[in-house]
Amino acid sequence: MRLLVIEDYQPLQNSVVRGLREAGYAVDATGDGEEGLWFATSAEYDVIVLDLMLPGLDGLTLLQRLRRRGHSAHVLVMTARDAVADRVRGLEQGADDYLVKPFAFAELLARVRALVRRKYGAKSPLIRVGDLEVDTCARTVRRAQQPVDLTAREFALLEFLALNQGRVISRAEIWEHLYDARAESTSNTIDVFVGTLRRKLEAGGGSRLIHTRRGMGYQLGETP
Amino acid sequence: MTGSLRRVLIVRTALAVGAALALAGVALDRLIERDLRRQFDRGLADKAAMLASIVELTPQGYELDFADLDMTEFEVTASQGFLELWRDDGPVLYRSPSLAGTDLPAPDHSRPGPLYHDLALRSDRSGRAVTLQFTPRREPADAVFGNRQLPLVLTLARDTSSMSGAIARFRLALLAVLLATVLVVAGTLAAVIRASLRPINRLATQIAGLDDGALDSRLSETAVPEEFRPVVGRLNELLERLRAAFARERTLAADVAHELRTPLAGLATTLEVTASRERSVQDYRGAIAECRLITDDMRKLVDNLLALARLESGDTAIARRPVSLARLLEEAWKPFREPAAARHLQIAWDVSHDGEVLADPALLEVAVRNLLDNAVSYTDEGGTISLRAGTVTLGVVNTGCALTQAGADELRGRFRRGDTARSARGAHCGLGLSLVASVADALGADLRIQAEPGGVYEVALVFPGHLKA
Repeated sequence: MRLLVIEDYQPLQNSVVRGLREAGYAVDATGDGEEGLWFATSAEYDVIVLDLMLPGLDGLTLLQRLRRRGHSAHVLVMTARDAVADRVRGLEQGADDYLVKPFAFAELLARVRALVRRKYGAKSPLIRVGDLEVDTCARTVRRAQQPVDLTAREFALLEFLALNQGRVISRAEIWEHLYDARAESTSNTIDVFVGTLRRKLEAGGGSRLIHTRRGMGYQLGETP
Repeated sequence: MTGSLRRVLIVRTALAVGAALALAGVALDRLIERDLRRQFDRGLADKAAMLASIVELTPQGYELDFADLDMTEFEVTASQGFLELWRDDGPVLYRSPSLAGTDLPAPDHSRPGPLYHDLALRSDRSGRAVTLQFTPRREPADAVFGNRQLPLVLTLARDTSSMSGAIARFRLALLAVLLATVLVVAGTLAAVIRASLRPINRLATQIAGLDDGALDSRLSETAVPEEFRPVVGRLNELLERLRAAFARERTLAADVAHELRTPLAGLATTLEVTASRERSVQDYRGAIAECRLITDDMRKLVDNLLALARLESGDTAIARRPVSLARLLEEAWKPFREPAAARHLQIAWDVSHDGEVLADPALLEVAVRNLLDNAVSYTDEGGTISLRAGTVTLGVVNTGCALTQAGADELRGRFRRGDTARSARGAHCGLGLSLVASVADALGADLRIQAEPGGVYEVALVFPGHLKA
């Protein structure tokens, strides 16, 4: 999953970005509203974490413009303004969620995850594919009741494939959703990445769940 | 004057009215009495003159023919009037029956005209007499009588008891009327005063009803008597100042809370994320350093907010002392030397020591410190800061400007517009520039900002000529 963090207070931006990356997300960040709008419209983000008081273009205006262009990214607004009027306005302008500073990072993370679930229409945090259980809430994976140990990045990849199960995901999509703007890579990276995940899932002797569709991409499912 | 205003008013007015009435009564009494007595005396004089006119001096002697006059008062039964007639050298010519043989006094009558005197009559009655010296008519008129031409003396006395009685009765009546008047006036006064003071009572009730929660209400200035309007006006003014002060306090509290939220969030998230897993010592050190920077930010924020609040409330008296701009700049720079060196900043000095202006040194220092802080924090690493002090100018220029002109202009207006919701922070956190703007305003200086994104950022405080020390 790929996230965009638009927050101008550097220490907060740093810690939020770090926390989100360590949670397995690909994160791009900026402290400027104009730049944020440019980022948002030039890549596919699953969730945008947006501070309202920004230099250049303020958060609400940015949100308005995003929505006017039909952009459908889920937006979590982060701000010091806590008055009911402000919250209502933020939500009415198109925010999907509203978090008042200061907040517990764990809450931010949980809300981001909820927004991701919403984006993929998964109401339940538990995704089942055959005997594979992916708990997007607890961030755990079980294959035939046996826990599978994945890194946060590997889990993110699996989560992405699982949320789109049955559908063929192109390498480009994987690239878009799992790598941030800093990443420099070739398609080989993705293949290696998928390969590593595959190996871990099949370690206990289970059948192949991640199928390669030559020329198209990858698909998570029971049968090829 | 303590105690009830109403009671004092009533008592004092009643006393004043009473005193006035008493004086009037006394005057009236005196006038009436004098008049009555004068009338009495005139009556005496007329009667005495009449009596004197009927005395004839004939060759046979003195003839007193009282037949045509009303002599009833002189009779023994009446005993109201008493008459005695003498010849000037002594012998009594006539005594009225009422005298019953006694004599009336005949005081010194050498002066012409009637002489009035009081006397005691028989049975301790008081009386009033007139003594008259006259020469009797001669009958025949041309007769010459030799040595029997001496003047005659007549004393007519009357009982004054009825007059005294009348006076006494009058006095009593007057007293009664005056007392009644005083009582009526006092009663009316009490009612009138009570009614007139009702607006005051209403005002007092209104004032008693004022409290912290009702600072929006105002006392009515029209429902009060003219004399109280200035008082009510002033009270309303004070209420307004109180309300504004409370509002400012609330705003300051809200601002502090509001502004601190973001750095607090930074602090909270940094600590939380750092603690979320095992990290290297270097990581921990980095996190701690980051947190220290954040708390620094918060401290500066609080200081600036307080300074701004004080400036706005007019609490700080702006001093006007000669301040050397160059020296102030040099002193203010000292704590920034190390942080500047840590960021490899080049410092260029362009100061002339003849720049002296009239300003508040403490306030100016706060402003300059903010400017230097911004410069050191936001100049690009390895960039240059130019510190300038001219005759009336103080300027800080740095490379690596990240603001647009519009952005910079927005920053200075934060509190000016009273817009607490829109805190344009961006690259310059901490309200520094808006504080500098407020200080410049208070000191009468001009704050000039020039921002060129990617280029140079220039801030200058320009003091007008008349502030040159």
